[in-house]
Amino acid sequence: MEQGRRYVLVAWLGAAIRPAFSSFVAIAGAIAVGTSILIGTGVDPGFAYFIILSESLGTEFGVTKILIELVPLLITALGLLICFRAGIWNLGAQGQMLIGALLANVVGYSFGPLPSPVIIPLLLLAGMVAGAAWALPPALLKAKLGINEVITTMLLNFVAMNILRFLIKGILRDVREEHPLTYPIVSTAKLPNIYGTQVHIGILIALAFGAVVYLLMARTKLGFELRILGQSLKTARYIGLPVGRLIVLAFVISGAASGLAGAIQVSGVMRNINPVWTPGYWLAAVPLVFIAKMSPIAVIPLSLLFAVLLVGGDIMHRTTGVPVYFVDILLSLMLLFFAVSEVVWRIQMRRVEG
Amino acid sequence: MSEILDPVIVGIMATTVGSMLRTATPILFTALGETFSESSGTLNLATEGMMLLAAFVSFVTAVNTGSILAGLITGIAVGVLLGLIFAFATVTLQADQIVTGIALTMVVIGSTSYMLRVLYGSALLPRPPAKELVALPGLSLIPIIGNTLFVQPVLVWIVILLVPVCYFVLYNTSFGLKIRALGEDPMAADVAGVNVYLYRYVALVIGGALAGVGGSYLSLYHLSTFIDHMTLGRGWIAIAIVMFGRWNPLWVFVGSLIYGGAEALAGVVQASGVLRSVPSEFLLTFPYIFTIIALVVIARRASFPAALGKPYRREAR
Repeated sequence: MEQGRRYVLVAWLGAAIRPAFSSFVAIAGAIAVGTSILIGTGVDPGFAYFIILSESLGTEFGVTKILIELVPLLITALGLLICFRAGIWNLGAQGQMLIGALLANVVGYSFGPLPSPVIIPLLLLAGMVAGAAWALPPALLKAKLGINEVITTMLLNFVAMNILRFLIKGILRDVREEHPLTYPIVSTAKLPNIYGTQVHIGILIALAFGAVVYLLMARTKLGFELRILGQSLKTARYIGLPVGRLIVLAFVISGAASGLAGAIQVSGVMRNINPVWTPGYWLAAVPLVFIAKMSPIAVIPLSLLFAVLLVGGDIMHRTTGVPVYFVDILLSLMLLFFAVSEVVWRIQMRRVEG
Repeated sequence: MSEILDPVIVGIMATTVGSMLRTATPILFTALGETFSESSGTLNLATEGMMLLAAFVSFVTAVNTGSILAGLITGIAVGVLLGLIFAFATVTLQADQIVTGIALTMVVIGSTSYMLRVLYGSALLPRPPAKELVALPGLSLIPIIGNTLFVQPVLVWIVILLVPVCYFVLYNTSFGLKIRALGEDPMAADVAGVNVYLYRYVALVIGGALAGVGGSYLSLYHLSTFIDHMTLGRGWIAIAIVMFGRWNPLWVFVGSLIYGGAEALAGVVQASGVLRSVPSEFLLTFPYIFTIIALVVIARRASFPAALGKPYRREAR
């Protein structure tokens, strides 16, 4: 009797909030643990959350910053989504972004003052090509030799970081600068702002890319095949899908996305690259894709939430001295809680449904 | 022949081999632990997080107590703690091993950087107590090479002793047989009366403890300080070394030495000034590229434990 009632309750809950249950648990769990970390380190959590939200959403500066930070986060996440959906663990978004940004920067200053409609697409394309190229080795190693991509992509992040540094300290260094720094891109290569705002048009590119990824995954043969691959490698092989080619394609698209994100940072925000630049977007993008349950539609509003946390956390750090890493902890805890709640939920449902 | 025995060259070689042993040590500790985890069927990507948390906690403890041993013990303790958390999530709750491992590592990267700021602000970090070196009796008296090769931190000697011990435990004891059986066919092991959950927990705790030593070595011996994400992927490199070594501690030892060689070589080349025009970051890519090449070399020959990465559900058998 007692057990029967429990099953009815679980089944009812399942029907009502099933699609997002583990995401809610993940966010709630992360906030709970995050709050105790704040209390444990002598920070008033109410005050901290108030600062994070009010300083980001409550000021024009904050909102502008959110709409700029959102761009690399969203584009990287959309790229990762394609891989994760296909069951491919591309954890090399960081490296793909760095290499993409680097080539975009080189293109951005090498050709002299070309008109904007020529140089900007060229620069963005360079970022995509470089990002895709950096994703190619782990893709080929997985497709041809079956080498675990988790390890190779993670290690290639460190290789990319060091390559970026030694190139900027060496042949790409702007000799006029006192400290190592690349040459700045020409002024025509700078991404224009949306009319009347301080927000560059990267946000439009990101949203358009979101639509493309949605259509790709939901409406095309390639998207369908990638989803089958993600569901079951065995099935994909059995029905004769070109598994190797799908793996390489997913990797290349995802690498191009990360490279594009890097190029947009160069063109829209930074203009030149500092050798110690270590963007943390991939650390946020991985939890983001999971919390969104790998849906391109859910990724968009959630990337807004994540951008609010990133921007708010940064401002909180500057105004109150709470280490900026608090937000990193919060986001990674979300991923941890998601991994656990997702599977516990699934097992509960299996018990109910038999 | 006489050129090879030139005292200068012999001295340089002994220094390089000595530095190779020291750089291989943290990787080898972690890789030996991961050999147990993977043999039992669990791919533990949290090794990176285990090492980093141990490096941080052992650093803080050693600074505050003035004792390297106390640091080491707390480092092992947090490694075990993370091993238990990982085991609870992946063995008991059957969460995805890859996501859980990455998530745990990310939590550790964020929280160690956070706690470092909370504890020390932007002030200069205190130094942990000086490390003690242990000279092998007799061998350390050999002229030219004795001083550089046979005088090492005690953990270097311990990890070398640990290699045959791990081999013996995994391949010559019933405990090792049970661990390996879980990695191949947990259902059969269960039917034969092995407690699948218990032994996977034990394997992960061993993995956590050894990764804890490896991480502590980095902050207490290797750099004698703590830096944000100072493990720099060594936890994942250790996993690659385990695959390279095909779950055999002796081959894992060989793999770690090759890795240690790549890292030591980068250091020696840098110090010698041969490539003065090349920024050191170029050499720093060597160990990573080496590791990836090692994976390529064994790719065709590796036969993974059949149940690696799959959670075991007793009800589903």
